[in-house]
Amino acid sequence: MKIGRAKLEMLKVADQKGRILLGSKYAGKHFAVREEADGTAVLIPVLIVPERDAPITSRRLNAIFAALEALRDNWDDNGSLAPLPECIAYAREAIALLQASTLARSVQWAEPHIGSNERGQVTLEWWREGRTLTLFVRSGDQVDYLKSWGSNIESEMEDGTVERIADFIALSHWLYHAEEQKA
Amino acid sequence: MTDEAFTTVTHVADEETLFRAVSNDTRFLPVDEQGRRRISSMAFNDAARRPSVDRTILCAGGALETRDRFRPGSGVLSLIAGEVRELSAVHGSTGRVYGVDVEPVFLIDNSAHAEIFGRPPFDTDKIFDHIKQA
Repeated sequence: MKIGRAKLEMLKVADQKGRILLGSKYAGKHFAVREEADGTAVLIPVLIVPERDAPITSRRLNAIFAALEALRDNWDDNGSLAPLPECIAYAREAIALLQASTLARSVQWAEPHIGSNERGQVTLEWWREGRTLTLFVRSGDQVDYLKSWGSNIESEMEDGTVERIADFIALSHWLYHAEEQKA
Repeated sequence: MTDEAFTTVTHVADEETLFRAVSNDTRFLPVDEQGRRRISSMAFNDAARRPSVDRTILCAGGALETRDRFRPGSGVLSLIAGEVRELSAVHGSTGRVYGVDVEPVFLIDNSAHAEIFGRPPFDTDKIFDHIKQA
């Protein structure tokens, strides 16, 4: 059988006890093994969340978001729109997913300060020492982030889009482990 | 009115202190997981992207006047006009530079009222988010 070079590089050999080494970039990750009918075995990355740290239940999420859902236009006396239902729904999903993901990776999780801006977008804010991380749930499918470590917009802030769980994990590492990264 | 007095009324000087009233509510002034009081970006929400402030130079009653005008029991944040004007933000994709300024906007019931605004006006969510964060 002819095996292409790219596939050959991924060829792993199980030792006498059936163990295979994947490399350090996979350290600590969990995989489900899916065995196909033709004998192929596929490793699928999975998240495992300890039961005691289970993601927020829908009841708890409802409690957190109840106050937000109750807001009406001009709720802050500064003309802000009521939080948009699609942003609330997406924020609710995102929080549950992000919490589960961080716990599965042993990354620190703290409940965000949940709010809303003048356009009805949902904001999730975290603070740690002199760092601030804000996620903006702008619609039912867009989450942006703004991280800041000072008030200079050009040199002490960075923004972007959160598209994958890995993006948020990187932001969490920055929030909680900036000192370690400097050292 | 003298020229000096006219200028004082129509222009906010860099050295002026500005008061921003914020509800004394954990939505705006939350406590973080380390027990520290924080200022949420919501404290500067404004539908027109022109947050209101009071000029202390025209508030005879000081911060209490601002507080009571907004809502008795609310909190008052203070800003320096010159520091506000030092802020600027660049739009990531257009390269457009947004400056920040403060100007008096007299109200019938509040001659100390002024507004923080963008030059050019803050016309995107991201730019205003940065300004509020700063």
